[in-house]
Amino acid sequence: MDVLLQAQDLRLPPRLDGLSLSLRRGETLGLLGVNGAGKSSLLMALAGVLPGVRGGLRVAGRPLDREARRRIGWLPQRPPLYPDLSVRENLAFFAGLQGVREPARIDQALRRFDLDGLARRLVRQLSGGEHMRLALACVLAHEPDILLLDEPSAGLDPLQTEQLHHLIQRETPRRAVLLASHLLPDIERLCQRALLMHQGRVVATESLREAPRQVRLRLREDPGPDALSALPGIATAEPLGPGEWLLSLEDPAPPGLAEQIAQRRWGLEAWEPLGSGLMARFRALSTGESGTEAGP
Amino acid sequence: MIRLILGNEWRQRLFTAPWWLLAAASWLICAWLLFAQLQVYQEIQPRLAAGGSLLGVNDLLIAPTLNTLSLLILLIAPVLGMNALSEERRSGRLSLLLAGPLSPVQLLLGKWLGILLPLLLIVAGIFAMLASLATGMHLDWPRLGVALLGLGALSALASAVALLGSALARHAAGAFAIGLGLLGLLWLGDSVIDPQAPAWWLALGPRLARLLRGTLYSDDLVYFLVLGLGALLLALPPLLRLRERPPWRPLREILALALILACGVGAAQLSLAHRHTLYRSTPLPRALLETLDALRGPVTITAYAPQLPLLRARIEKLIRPLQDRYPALRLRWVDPQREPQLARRLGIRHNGELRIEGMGRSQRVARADYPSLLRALRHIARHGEPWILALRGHGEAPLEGGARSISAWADALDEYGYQVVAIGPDDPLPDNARLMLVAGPQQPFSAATRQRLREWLARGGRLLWLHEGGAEATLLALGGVGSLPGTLVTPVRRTGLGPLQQAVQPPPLLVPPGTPPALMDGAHALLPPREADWKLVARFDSDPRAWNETGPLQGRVRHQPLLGEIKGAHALGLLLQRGGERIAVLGDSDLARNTLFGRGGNRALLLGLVNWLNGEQLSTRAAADDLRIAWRPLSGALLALFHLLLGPLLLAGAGLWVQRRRRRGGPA
Repeated sequence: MDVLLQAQDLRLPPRLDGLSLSLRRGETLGLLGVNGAGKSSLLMALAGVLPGVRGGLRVAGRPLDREARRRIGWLPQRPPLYPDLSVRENLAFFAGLQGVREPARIDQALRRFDLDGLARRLVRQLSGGEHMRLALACVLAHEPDILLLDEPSAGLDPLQTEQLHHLIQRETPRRAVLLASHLLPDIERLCQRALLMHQGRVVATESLREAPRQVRLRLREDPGPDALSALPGIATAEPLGPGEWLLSLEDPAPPGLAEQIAQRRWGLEAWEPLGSGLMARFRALSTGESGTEAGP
Repeated sequence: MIRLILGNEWRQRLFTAPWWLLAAASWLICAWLLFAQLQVYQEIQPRLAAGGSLLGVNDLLIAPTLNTLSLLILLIAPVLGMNALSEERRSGRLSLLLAGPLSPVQLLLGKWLGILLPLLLIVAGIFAMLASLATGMHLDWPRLGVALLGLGALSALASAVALLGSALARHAAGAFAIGLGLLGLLWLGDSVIDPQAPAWWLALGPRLARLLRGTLYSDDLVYFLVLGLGALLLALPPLLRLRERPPWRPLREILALALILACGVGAAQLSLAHRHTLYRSTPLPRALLETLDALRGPVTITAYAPQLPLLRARIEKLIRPLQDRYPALRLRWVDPQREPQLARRLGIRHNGELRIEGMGRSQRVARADYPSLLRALRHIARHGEPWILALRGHGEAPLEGGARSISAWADALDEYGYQVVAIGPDDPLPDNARLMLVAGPQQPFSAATRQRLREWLARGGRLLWLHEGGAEATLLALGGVGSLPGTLVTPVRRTGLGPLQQAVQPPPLLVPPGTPPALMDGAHALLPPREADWKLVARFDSDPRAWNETGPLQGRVRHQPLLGEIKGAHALGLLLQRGGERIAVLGDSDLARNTLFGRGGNRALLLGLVNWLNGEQLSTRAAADDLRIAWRPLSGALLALFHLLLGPLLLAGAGLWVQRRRRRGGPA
């Protein structure tokens, strides 16, 4: 696999402190950290919009010039689209900035992200999930090689989060993806590798390929373990407390499982995928214990 | 990329209600002021026409509306521009935009055009409103064209400054305040900056005033270009800091600032040295321009005028072109009703009198018009006071004396800056004399005098010959002009004049429109030259029923063709030109004598002849030709209804409709 993004010793005290990483095509790397850990700053630095950052940055082997910028798609936190323009106008504008001007390609992007029915709707009238879908469409319309996603599921309900995950999974195989989040389930679900960031540094790195796939589920109704286990993709269902269940998923877990549970009218309140021992280290960091410094 | 940004800005403006409401409000304000002034104008129009006002609709209606529009531009531009960059920054979109291949310069230009074009649409709409007045008024289109260019330049500058405010501020309100503050400083510059200080160059008011008056200086274009570019360049660093690495390059930015300053200073120096007018709607007489060029140091014109808007506007209109040519000329106002002692001490007798001071001299100007100003300024400058040589020694009309002299004409010429000097046939010719007057010679000239006159003409001299039948050979030799024998007579019952009197209408080349006919008495029919090298510039003729009576002019006179008497329109005035030589011949000298000088249009004709011969085209007094409003009450009412009600309502309604339709998800 070719290295698409290489950052060397990025520094911007106190936000970034000698951070290095490399990202290959087909790889999805998670950035996990508490608020203020430097995740967004790192993504901004990689997108070339963080003033004053020092260090080396190469995109497909070349410096961050005009051509290199064209290969990056950066989705900032709470993507700021134009609220008084329609879905289509926003998409046409942001895609146009990357050189995509043909109406047919805009139509194609609308269909790809299931936005064709909303094309004329103003952005201010969209739901959170629709807004995020449009933002993804804007970022991906020019088919960038590198995708930088900053807290994509922030503010979304479980159903919307599930849909978004599905979309991201669909779009990532051909690209190098860096996903920043403070939600462990996002990282575990979407990434093959995760970096744990704290105070501008990478303090741990972990491969998530072999991690067992479990989900903590909270329901208002009690369907019973048998009903849950009967769903395709669920190996076992263990009760954790009133309304709380621990589901062990088959590998690979089928897409749209959360949707299926939501449709059963059991009152889905939380869908929290659990992963490896990363959560323990993340908790330790957020409560003040220091981690082990490690390279990516 | 720039087009993409512009398109995005364009959609955000035109697909939301605020721009439409802004346009509707601007339209309503301008229409309200325009039609309020129009109502007053229609009330005073008869008085203006009767008084031969120099100010017409273009000065009294269009100019104030353009001034209002320029103020609106200064207010609207910061409103349109306040969100341009500050809102992008606040929402986080600015980083998103600059993360891609879009360069900060492209973003800046797209945003600038995104402010400018909607602003120009508003300006164009209000110009269309003004243009609709042409259905009943005589609009000064060239002047309007230059004013449109000026307002376009102002819009471009105001958009750039508004964008600068938006680049510097974090919030829209701050951007609006910065933009408005900077534009206000430029606007008020002429009030707070000393005119002699270099910073005066920054003052916006005088430059805009010149453009709105229809005068286009290269200096002013350079001003708008330099300040507009400067504002855009200053707006760039905040964008560069978001993206470039290293973001802050003090050396580069200091160099950029130094470059802007150098451009400004260089442009000021260059334009001062090479100032020229591309278009001027109120051309000053050449003699006045030359006199202004000869002035040195500050010159002050004090106008003694009470607070009468029309009087002050008329004087301002007269003085402004002079200030354009000579910026060190200042106009100040003294209200004689508030300072009666000062006015009395200086001998001010009439409202509107002027006092000119400069170069250690002072002059009082009783009548505010260009000829009088020329005379006074010539005195101040001690420059170009031309002499008119009145040839004597052949029975010509005397310069001084009673009814048969031409002293009244000489006095009038003195009032207009000419000095009439008597000269004998053998006297040396002074250097500053350009015009020779031969007023009714009775005796033939000597060969030597004839030769001197021929040489005088060949050197570019000008000759005004008032023919009384004598010295015909000399007239023929000099200009090839002959005359018929006898005196022209016309049947009394046909003209209402005496039998020997002729009423002739001089051509517009000599007199302003509306001047009454000149009155000649005992005139002689002239014969135009047959030589092809003399070009006949103009001629004016007698009544077509006149004939040259060769018999005694007593008792009953009758047309007798057999005696060589020819009936028809005979030439009574000829204007001839050959290269630089000019000759004007009138078939009568009596109209210049004191007995007839004040009758009919004689004064205007004789002054006009002197002006034409000197190439000065000095109008004696021309009323504005745009005084009249010629529309039916219904047309006026319909126009007012449209501009005051329908136009603003349509704009506001369209904005609300567009916004509502878009919110429903339909196409705009």
